[in-house]
Amino acid sequence: MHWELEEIWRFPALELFVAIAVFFALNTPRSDITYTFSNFQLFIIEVILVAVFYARSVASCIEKREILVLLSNPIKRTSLFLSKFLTNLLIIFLICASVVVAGSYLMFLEPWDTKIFIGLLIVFINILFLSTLSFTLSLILKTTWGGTILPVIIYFGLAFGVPQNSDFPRVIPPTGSNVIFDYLTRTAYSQYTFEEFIVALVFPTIASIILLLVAFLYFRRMEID
Amino acid sequence: MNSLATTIETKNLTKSFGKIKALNELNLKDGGGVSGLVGPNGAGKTTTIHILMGFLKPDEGSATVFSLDSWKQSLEIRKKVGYLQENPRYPDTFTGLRFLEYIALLHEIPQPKQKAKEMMKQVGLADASQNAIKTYSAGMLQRLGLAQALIGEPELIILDEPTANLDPTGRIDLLNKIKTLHKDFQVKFLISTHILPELEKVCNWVSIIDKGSIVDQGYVKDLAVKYSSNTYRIETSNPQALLDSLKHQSFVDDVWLEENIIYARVKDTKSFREEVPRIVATKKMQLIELRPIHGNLEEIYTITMKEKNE
Repeated sequence: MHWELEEIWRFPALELFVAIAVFFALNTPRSDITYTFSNFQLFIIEVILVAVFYARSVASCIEKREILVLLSNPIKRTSLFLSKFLTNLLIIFLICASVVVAGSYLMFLEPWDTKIFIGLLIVFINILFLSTLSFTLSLILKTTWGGTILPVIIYFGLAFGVPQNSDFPRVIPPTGSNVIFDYLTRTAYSQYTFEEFIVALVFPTIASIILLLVAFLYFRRMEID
Repeated sequence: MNSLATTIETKNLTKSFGKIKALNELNLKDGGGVSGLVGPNGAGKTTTIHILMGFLKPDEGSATVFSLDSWKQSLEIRKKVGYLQENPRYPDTFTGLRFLEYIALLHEIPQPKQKAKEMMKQVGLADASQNAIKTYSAGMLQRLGLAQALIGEPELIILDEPTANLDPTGRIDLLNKIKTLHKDFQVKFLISTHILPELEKVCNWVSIIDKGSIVDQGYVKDLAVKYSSNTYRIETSNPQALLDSLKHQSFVDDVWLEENIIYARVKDTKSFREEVPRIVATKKMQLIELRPIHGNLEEIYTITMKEKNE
């Protein structure tokens, strides 16, 4: 994990992403808490950060064969898998969480206001889902460009392309474009019940766990040449 | 030799990439000392090594290192084996020292920084230890790879084209290092290379591989006896003309030309030794050299590959 952290720390684009995050936070309308904690701009930051970080850390590492150096030393594949996944997840979450914290400060919320923590939870769940998808695709595609672009296409496909389903209006919101990611926020802050909020949490969490398991099994059996 | 026990063994090892069969029932073993793995490009040397290191899973057959299954017990193998890959790539933003420090941590070496410094010094990179790896030349990267392979004090070191990017001094240093490690610390080596004269200086065992199969393998001295018996090497000013003449001689069993050198397997040594100078004189050629081959690795390789292709 130290290795991963140091690699990310030396990534020159990191400062740029932090600057973008702060810029978006400062330019977010402060009147609507739902908009602040799950706005489309933050979604874009999350998508780009996740796609770039995982493609660089995973796909590029395999493509450039750096992984051979790591795996020729006594390191368990499980440890390598977890360190790559968790380190990137942690860093991306810290960057996006800074947007939420900065937004709540600008909205004059109390530091211990539960809305902030719900906001952080929503951001975490979104990033977790995006990360597992990006991580899995990077492992399978093994190319930096593919690992960067395909997850972005899929994320936007999910955000804009999922058809509305009138049979499940409470699970998939009947209106709006950000059908998956926006819904979690709306259930948290709008007229929805606590049970519905839990259901909204469970969907991306289970999807993330399944994707992570798929990625793990794939990585354990993956051949590297 | 300190140990003659086989460390590496593959049995009917087969591996395909799509329709390409990289390894075809490969039965490899090493001599327990310094072993060479030689063969032309695409023969399957790197694929074999990658299977031994646990990067690739065999399609059929088995591969063991220290009697451990290369795929299922890869972690245990990597605790005992150091590996220098061909054209290695490292995290280029790290400094050489920092990179080695992390590798030392993976090997659970106490005082990893101290060990990393020691290794940088040993491979002649002490002055560049604080520089980013991206500023290293190809030769420096090779030295860093060697330090990485040695840092865990392995029992076996696998080197894939280790002298590829080294200058002559670096090559000599590496060969001396191999000799010292084997002699003083009983470290075993498997060296895959194209540069046979260099390999000959250090290895006692050689495995010749082509098209995914073993052509022949054994102790260099044994192979030398096997392939040099009645085989002669002739160098003349006009090799093609001599070759044409020898093809029709009854005392010659087989004759062929390799890079303007004639190789002849003879039936009747006495007649051969008398007739060749006579033919050369008749055709007004210059005889530069006529000698039986004595197990030069390059010559063994040439003969075995020729026999394989016939």
